[in-house]
Amino acid sequence: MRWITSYFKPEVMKQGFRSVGWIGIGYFLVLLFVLPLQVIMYVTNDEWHQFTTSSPAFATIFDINSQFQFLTIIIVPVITGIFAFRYLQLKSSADFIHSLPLKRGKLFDQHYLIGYLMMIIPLTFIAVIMYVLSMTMDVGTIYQMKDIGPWFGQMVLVVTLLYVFTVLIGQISGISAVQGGLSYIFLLFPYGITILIFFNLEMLLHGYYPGYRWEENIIQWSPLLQNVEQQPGEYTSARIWSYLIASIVIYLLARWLYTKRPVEAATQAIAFSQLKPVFKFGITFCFMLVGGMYFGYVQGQHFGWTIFGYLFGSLLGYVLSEMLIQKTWRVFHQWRGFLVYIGVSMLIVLSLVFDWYGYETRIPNANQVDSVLFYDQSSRHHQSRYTQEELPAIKNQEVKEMIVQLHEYILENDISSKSYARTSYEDSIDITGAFSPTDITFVYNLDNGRKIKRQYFIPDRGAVEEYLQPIMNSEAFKKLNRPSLFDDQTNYTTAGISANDTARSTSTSNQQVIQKLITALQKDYLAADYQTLINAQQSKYHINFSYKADHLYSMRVPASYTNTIDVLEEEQLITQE
Amino acid sequence: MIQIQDVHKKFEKDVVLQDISLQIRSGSIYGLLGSNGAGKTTLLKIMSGIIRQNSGHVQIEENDVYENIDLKERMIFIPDVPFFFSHYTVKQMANFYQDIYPNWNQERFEQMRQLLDLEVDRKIHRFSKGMQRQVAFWLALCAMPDYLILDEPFDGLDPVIRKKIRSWIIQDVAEREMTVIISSHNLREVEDICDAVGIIHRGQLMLEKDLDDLKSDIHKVQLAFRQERSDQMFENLDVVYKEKRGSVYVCIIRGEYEDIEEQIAQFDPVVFDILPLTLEEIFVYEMEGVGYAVDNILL
Repeated sequence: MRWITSYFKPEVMKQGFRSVGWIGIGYFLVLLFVLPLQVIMYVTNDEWHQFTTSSPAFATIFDINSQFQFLTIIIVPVITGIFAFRYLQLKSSADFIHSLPLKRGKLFDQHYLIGYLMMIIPLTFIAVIMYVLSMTMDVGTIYQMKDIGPWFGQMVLVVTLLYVFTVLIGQISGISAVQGGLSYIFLLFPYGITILIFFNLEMLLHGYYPGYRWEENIIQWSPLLQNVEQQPGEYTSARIWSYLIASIVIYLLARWLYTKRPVEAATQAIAFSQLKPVFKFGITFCFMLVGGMYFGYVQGQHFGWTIFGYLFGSLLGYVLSEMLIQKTWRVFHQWRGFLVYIGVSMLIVLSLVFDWYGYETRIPNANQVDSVLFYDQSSRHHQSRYTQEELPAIKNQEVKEMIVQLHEYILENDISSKSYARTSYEDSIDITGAFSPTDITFVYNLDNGRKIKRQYFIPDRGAVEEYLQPIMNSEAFKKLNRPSLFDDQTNYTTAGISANDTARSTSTSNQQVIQKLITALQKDYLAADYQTLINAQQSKYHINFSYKADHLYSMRVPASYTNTIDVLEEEQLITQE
Repeated sequence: MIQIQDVHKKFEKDVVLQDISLQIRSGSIYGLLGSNGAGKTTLLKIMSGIIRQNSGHVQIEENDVYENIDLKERMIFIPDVPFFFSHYTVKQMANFYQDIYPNWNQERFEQMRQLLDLEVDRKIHRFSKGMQRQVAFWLALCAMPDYLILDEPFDGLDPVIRKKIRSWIIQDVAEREMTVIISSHNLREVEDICDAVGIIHRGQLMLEKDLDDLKSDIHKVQLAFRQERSDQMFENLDVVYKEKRGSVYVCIIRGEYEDIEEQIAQFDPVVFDILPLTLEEIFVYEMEGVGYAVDNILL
């Protein structure tokens, strides 16, 4: 213990507690109301006992008052990170603290620890209180003692990562408000910038397709969104490790920057002059993408407006970032950097528009294709529970050739429209479905291990019908299109049947009947022709297969599915009118 | 001994200090003079190890100051507006200093408390500006620093407090050989306390002088002769400034008193007075010598 007391100056810790102690107390009180008090309110409420069916009622402690817990996760670490290093952003206190006979690394450690304790101590207290409650009261309907550990551990993990990240940003910026703003921006940044780049590429490159379920995949690059979208209770060990390692790396980086940071950077937007151009052109780039996206979407396909959006957006971003860095309105003489930026970026944009890389015309030879995933808008939702690797990719040579032919046909005849024109078509979807617009997606897995991914928006399905029809009639496509129907891994617990023209519905949990139904459906579906497949309106019945607790898989049964209808009648799941 | 060697400091693109070199003897009081924005505060902060120069050396006792804990434990910097943690009382602030500075002298703290008649349990922010300045000195002196660095310490203080603080400083310099650096934009404020002064202007050191040397080295001479004399009598003298009113010459001459007397006596003056110069006058003439009008640099 001696090294601790000699390393940490008690008066420095005391002073730190005096200036950020309110955060710890506030955090503790909020958590006290959100968790233990809520638990006591549930326990003492008779109605609660009457109406709760499952026990415990919450899967994890995160589910108790979850929205408030999330709010604290988002707000508290950032606030703490700002105030723990507030002294660094004020000239007078920064000068004073650094005139003291204390090494910079030591100062950093002490102030870091003070802020960190303001979160860890309240969390520990709450965990202890929850433990005591579970020992002394009958809380079994709400949570169990074994839930406390994971809750505490995951809470500490996420709070640590967000806190250490805010501290890192605090070393880069010399203004607390900018520190807070930049912390949130950078916590969202990887996600936001990817979305922006993808949208812009989609506008500039004909057929651009970022990949299967790409939005979900990039969410995990933003710890903030990840914790809003997916509950912290679902932490995988990969996530735990990545949080831990990221926290340690960021801590060391922040500590190193602290020792390098000039004290006179207090009140400067960006503390390191080397980072100013990065910051400036980063903001300019983001604004450019936003400007191009806005004008591109609002004005349909008009290329001129997109370019106008790029120019206007980058000008705005450039001027704003200059203003922030120099803290003055008068930045309009700094145009040289802007001209260089515009020159370079316009060259890149033009290179994309004129397709110098051959992206738009690249179609593989069917012989080089190992397998291919091919789907339209409707298949996507049937596939949503599978990862791309789990989907049964098409390997049939004949079908592969047909797909490549369709791809060539689309390109040669310029059938697809750039996807941002999609919005105007969505209002005019044909009721019969025959001429409805659709997306067509190609994902080729080539023999050499590479992938070619393209997606086209087809305003009128009729224009490609000639090529589309044989593909959709093939068995390989049908299996890919309805993977759930051919998935023998899943055990469906019940099948619910509802008729489309009446409100009647029946259901069965008989495994044999369910298996019979699936076999009949497979037969009917594989035999169905193109018209039946695309016409959603003609179906007579719906069968909902359920698996797990709350997941459904739904199949339409058109009148032509005679095998299926026979089974339904046989098992008296429908009545003959 | 504080040794500053070719110190250069830039804030972004603005050059604040340009190759400054100066030396401060241990146990002396050094006055750093310059107008606002001359770079005084920056130089003091570099000396205190708060900020780092871009190039050059700042050494105390032949060690670099920056991140040097052994030195900083014996050094205190008091900025132009003394800093205290918000809502801290004198007592709490004293505890902080006691924890940080190993040479803290509690006995002295109590003694000075009786002299000052301040309540140690009052929050420092409630005190007036002059009182706060006194608290800053009180705390600083109880930490028994070997080096005391003061940025505009007398600015805006009434004469009574100014005198009190001055006597504290002089006492510690005399008793413990404390080294003091005082910055000021006002020569008159520091002339009677400093042993040496340096003038910086726009980041450059214009002049550095030992005051004893300076005063013995330069003289104001009034001369009158019975008949007209040619200017050749000044040929062997280092005349900084010369003016003739009627038949009376008023000259500022650099050199030893005896030498000047000997030279002038040859020409048989009717009137020959050597008058004392105020420090300000000396600087006016010295600065003119290097091509600056001192009014523009100092008040």
